[in-house]
Amino acid sequence: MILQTLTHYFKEEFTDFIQRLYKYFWRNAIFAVASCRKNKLYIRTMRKYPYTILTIILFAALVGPFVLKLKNPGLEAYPAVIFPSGAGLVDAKEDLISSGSIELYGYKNGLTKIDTKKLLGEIPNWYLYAIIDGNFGLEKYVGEFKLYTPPIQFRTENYFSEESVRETKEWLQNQLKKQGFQDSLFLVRRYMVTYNIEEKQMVSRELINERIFKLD
Amino acid sequence: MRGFLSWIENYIRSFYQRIERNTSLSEKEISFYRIFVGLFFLFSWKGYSWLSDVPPGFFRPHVLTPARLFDNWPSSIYFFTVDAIYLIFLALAILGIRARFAFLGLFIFSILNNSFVYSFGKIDHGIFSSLIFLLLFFTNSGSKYAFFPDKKWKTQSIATAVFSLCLVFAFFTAGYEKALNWVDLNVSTSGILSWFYGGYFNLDRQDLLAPYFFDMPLWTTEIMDYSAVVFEVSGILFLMYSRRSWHLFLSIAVMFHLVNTLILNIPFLGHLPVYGIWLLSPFFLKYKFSGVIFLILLLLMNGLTMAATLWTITTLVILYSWNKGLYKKAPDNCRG
Repeated sequence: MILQTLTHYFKEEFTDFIQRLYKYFWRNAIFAVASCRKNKLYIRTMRKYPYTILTIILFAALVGPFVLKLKNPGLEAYPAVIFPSGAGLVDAKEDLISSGSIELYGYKNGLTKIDTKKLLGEIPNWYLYAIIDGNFGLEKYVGEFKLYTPPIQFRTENYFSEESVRETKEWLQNQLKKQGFQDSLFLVRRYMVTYNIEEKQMVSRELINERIFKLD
Repeated sequence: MRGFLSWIENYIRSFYQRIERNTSLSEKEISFYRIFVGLFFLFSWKGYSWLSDVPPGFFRPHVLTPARLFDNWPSSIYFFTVDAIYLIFLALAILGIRARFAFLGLFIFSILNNSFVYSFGKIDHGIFSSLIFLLLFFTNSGSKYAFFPDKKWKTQSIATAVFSLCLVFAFFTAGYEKALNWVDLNVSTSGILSWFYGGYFNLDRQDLLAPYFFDMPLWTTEIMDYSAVVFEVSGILFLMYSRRSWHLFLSIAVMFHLVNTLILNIPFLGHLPVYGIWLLSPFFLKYKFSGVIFLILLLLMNGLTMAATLWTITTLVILYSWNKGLYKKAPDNCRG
């Protein structure tokens, strides 16, 4: 009788112990991340001040990339909530306005202007300047961007190898051939064009710079 | 310290609640609008597989983009797979089958793959075409007009408020730099002409009303410069003041884009569904099949003419909605 009572008692105690252990294990497993004091504090703070926390996160996500872009346009991040500013100005002294212009030329019955939209194919034509700045991938491009506070230097470069040059040349040759141009070379010319806005006509067109890209 | 933090928390809460009141949408509006957004992106969708034909020499991502983690354009198989999955997500979102999950997928896919599109050395600013998916993820857009309705979350009004804050901040980023340069009280300089001449002579943006812009007197372009700056930096005031002022700000934004399309030939059509969340959704809900007109135009037309037509129709819809008082009432589920 006594033995039965003791066995029953221990069974109940043991079962209770196992159940408590089981609960303890899961509770700790679920809140493992929040088990240390610091994390508990963070969670409590987040629950208590959700709007403040949201504002801090939003501020960092919105203002951080914008400040980086203001410091150096080369450090513009993506994704970032930024619209294009295009804050350039033109000066119209004495009714004359000057504007830079880039044109591409190839050989087809003499030097002929290339239709850049057709040359780029499916690539949107507003990327043309960026592609020219990157030397059409035919030369090594290295860009360095510095931040002074804090002092960090970022570096970027285009994809450049013998194979990439060969493939890029082949692609450009094909695009030129489609328009009936010789596929051995093309030219990039930068002009400074001046207009008289009163008379609504071009006054001068000055060649500033010319680069030849050979594809042989 | 705790008292101070609580005071700040209460102050910020009232700030958000005010924005929630001014920007909130009913579940019916946002759910019906979900179908339009899905179809809009489906019909105007160009996909990413064209990137597989771009030569490797053009790969020049910016320093701080996800594409920087790659050495070169991903393979054509990757882009074809992405296109297929993207289309599946769009179909799920339109039909309302796990729409919340589909919008999260669309957001992640569009952010990651747009970073490849922006790897020619220039970042475009169509971030809201991706963020709209994140907004729809947090709203209850999949809870009505859906084959398998989503469970309702309590995040709809705060998500809409945060999204609208992002929108006014984005306008501010454009206006801030302009304000420093364009507001110079000098009639012989012009900011808008810098956009115009650059586009007209370098990028062949010579369509629609662009040739007639030469006839504009210089002083009017100065007024346009200042108006653009005032509009872009003042978004937060419109957002905070009232529900009507927020709708007024968005209406001005639509007209701003219409003018940009007609004169500068810059369509920014990806912003149409973004403003439409507030400006078109009440109209679409009232006249259920009116959205079809937009979608038919997307299918039948292309290029600038289509963009100009869509912005014009949107302007007409807005004028009609103002006249009929469709923007007056805040939905009942609004907490603010």
